[in-house]
Amino acid sequence: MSLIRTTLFLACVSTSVLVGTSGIATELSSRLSQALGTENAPPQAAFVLRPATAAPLERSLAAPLAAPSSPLTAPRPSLAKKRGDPAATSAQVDESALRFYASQNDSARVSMEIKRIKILHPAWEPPGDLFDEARDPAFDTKLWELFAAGRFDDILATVQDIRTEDPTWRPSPEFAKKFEIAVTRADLVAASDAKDSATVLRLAEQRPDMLVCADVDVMWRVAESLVETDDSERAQDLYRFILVQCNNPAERVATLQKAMQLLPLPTVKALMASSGRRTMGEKEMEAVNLDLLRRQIGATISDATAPVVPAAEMRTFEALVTQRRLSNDAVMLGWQRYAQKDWKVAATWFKQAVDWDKSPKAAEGYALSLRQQGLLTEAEAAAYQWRESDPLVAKLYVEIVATALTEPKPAVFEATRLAQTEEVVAKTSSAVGAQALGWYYYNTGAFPKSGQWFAKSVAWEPTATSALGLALAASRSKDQALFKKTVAEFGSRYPAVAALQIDKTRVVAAGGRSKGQGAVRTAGGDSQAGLLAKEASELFKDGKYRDALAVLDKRAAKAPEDQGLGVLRGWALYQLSQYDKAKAQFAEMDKKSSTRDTQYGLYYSGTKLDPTHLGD
Amino acid sequence: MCLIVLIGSTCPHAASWAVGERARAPLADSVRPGPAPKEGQGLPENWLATAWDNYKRQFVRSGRVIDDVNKISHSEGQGYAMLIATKASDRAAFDEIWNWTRKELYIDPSDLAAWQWKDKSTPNVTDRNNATDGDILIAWALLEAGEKWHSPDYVDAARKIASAIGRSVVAEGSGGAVLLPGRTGFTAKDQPDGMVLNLSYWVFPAFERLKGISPEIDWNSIQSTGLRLIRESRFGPTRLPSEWIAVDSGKPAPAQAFPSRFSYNAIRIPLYLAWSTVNQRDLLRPFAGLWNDTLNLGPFEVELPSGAALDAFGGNGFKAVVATAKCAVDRKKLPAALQKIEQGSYYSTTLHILSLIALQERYPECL
Repeated sequence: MSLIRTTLFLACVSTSVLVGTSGIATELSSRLSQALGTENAPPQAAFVLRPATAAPLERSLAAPLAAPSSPLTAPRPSLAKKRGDPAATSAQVDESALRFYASQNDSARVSMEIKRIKILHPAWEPPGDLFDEARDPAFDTKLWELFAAGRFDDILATVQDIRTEDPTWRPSPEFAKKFEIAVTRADLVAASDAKDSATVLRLAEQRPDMLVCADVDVMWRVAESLVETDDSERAQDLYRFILVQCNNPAERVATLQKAMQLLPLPTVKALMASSGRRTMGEKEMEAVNLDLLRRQIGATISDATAPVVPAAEMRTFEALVTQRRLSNDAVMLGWQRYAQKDWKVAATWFKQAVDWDKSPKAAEGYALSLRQQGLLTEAEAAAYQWRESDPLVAKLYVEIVATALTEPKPAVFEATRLAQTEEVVAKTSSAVGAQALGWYYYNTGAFPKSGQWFAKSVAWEPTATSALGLALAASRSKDQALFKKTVAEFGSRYPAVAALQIDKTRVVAAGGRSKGQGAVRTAGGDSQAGLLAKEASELFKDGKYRDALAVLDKRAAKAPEDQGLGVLRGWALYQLSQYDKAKAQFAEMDKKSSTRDTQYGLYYSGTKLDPTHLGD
Repeated sequence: MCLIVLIGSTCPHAASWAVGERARAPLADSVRPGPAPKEGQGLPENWLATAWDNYKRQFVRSGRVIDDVNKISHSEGQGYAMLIATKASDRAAFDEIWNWTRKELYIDPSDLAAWQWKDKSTPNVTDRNNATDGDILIAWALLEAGEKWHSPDYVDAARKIASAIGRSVVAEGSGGAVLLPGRTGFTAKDQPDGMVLNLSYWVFPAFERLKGISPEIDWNSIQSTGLRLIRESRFGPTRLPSEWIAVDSGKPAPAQAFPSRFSYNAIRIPLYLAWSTVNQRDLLRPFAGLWNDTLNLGPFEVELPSGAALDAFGGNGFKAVVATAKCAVDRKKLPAALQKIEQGSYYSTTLHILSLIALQERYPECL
């Protein structure tokens, strides 16, 4: 149970919104590059995940920011200083006016300005890229608009239209590159969603220029595929690349969280250490450390062999959880203590979470921890209080009262408690609860009421014991019709019910006692074995379970143990909290001959071992 | 023609074939302020008739069109005038000019016109080589006239010339069909740096019409090769084409035998691009900035390696060409000062009239 729960506590990492449409076939990509007249990028043997790959891109993005200020305000070169200087290079010549005129597509002034500068600086060569931005924006604008809308098919059609008119036309190299990347990206995302790691890696190798800080989502997907193909080392390289190179703190944190989900903890720690020179915000760092601790604590809950979390780190974490009132984490700490059988502290954490957040998961843990401590009244009260919050809590409540109702010596339930029980049992249609009520009323002599609850239990989910209970209650209520009907209906399915028909008297006598209490039929008469059997039964009645077991062992050495004594042994083990042994005992007997006693014992020892899967 | 100032010994191979620069017109006429029709009202209804009357009076003598600056006549001038006469619906003048052209220039068995005719020479034609744009213009004008006046003779004549073009000057080169500037002297055998071409000979609006009468010629290929070459012939910082290009290794370069210059030949490239329906705004962009109309600066001849301005083109016609490009690129209105055809040189006046015709036919919204 706790294994499943812990995964819920791990912080979810949001994935970035995908730009491209998914599901674009790779075939489309090649069709497009044909239509665009662009050649496929030369395939690369392996994508290099070193800083060198992305650095040029970042530089080129940064370059426009470093451009000089307005060409209109920039100072003109001084005539006196520069006149006729043959050594003048473009570094000394103010080209800002030139670039401004070019940006206005004003060739007349450009050629006049070149003439002017040439007179001043004969050695100067005008820049060749003056009009690079002067490309007709009409087509490009349309293509970029389609691109932004993700309408890749329309881009293809538009390009083909333009090229029908002019076969020599080509989209700008920038567009062609971005477009190819986008198409490849869409393929990669689709492959990644389909868990097709081989395709993901093939596409990444085909276009390593996709792996840039501007698109960490792609890098995360590639890293995941690397992990899935057992190439953890390159995955780590990729994660490290993001951690060292990329500027977005949130993305760096998310990267570590991704890594935590896929890589072993020591690897993630090493990753953090090796890329730690990059300062991360205090908040981000704390978030990452919290996640790491969560992972570690979670591991100890589901896996007993997981490394113990150092006490100092535990204290830090616990202090933070208390200070911030992190109820999910408090619940996790509760389960951690629960797994260590430290019910008391577990209950404290669960209670905190209940108080902070009214969390149903916490309420369930709280009630369970109380019950494990033997604080049954408190456990019952807590479960009753939170019964509406979660079906599991209601189920737990029924289980607690069902146990109380079927104790060997059940306390008398006061009217309100009984009414509460009946209310929840009815509301949850609990077959187990109804059966327990059936036995309770049966044992207190209220046979018609007993019958009603057994009938409900049978209707909700028939079992051998509920059918048996129904038959017995009918018999004791002198309702022969119901008795016959029940035996007829369930006799073929449950041998214990069929047995009623054969030896009605004996069974009715035995059925009067619940759960092994005194239900011991001795097998050996006045023989020594018989005496020992009697002694064991007496010891059991007095609550001396250990002694009872010892006597049973003694007797077993002399004569084979019949089912009655076997049942006694099972319950003695049960009372000594040796539920696994008790369960094994009942199971062995049930295999030989399944009776109400063996099934009952099996059921209760089983629920003790797995309290949340009551009756499942 | 476009090959007017004789270079003599520096000429490429074809010794008798004058290959050189188009001469510059005197800097006589600039845009003068003065009474001009208001913008937005379009051209006066009879503008073409008036302009054509003046043109005839100034440049046409008994069917011969005189390039007043170069003091010669040429096939190009005959073609331009025939085209304008047709547009102006002046059949008598058209007939007179065509008859002179047929008689004086179509004297070679190749069925292509001799490119130049000199009054003072005997014979008047001393070089029988053709200038391909002249033949294209004449064929186009004949075709327009044939359709306008329902004259099969004109259409037949146009077909005959087109067919001769296909036989003699359409060649394979640079990855498609190209137009050789003349039937001799421009192949890779004749030139030091490969086949030499003149992009201003690609009269795009004519191709669209000639397709119909000469299906044997792959005009589509000629057109797309031309467009590609214009795109690839962006030389120097001002990314303008040179007058003459060599296409030896596929990618064009300024031809070695000529000055690397944007000048009086290449100025027609934007006119033909804008006039045709190929809709190449992108290709027109470098030309649209050649004249700054606010400052009335340019257009200039440009020295291509450096991009430096040389002399300004002399005449309003060149501004009108740039204005046409500005209209095609940015839908910019024709400045009012250019709505009236001023007295100018033969070449400037011709380009001015053709620009206005192009605007009227393709971009009335700019008038």
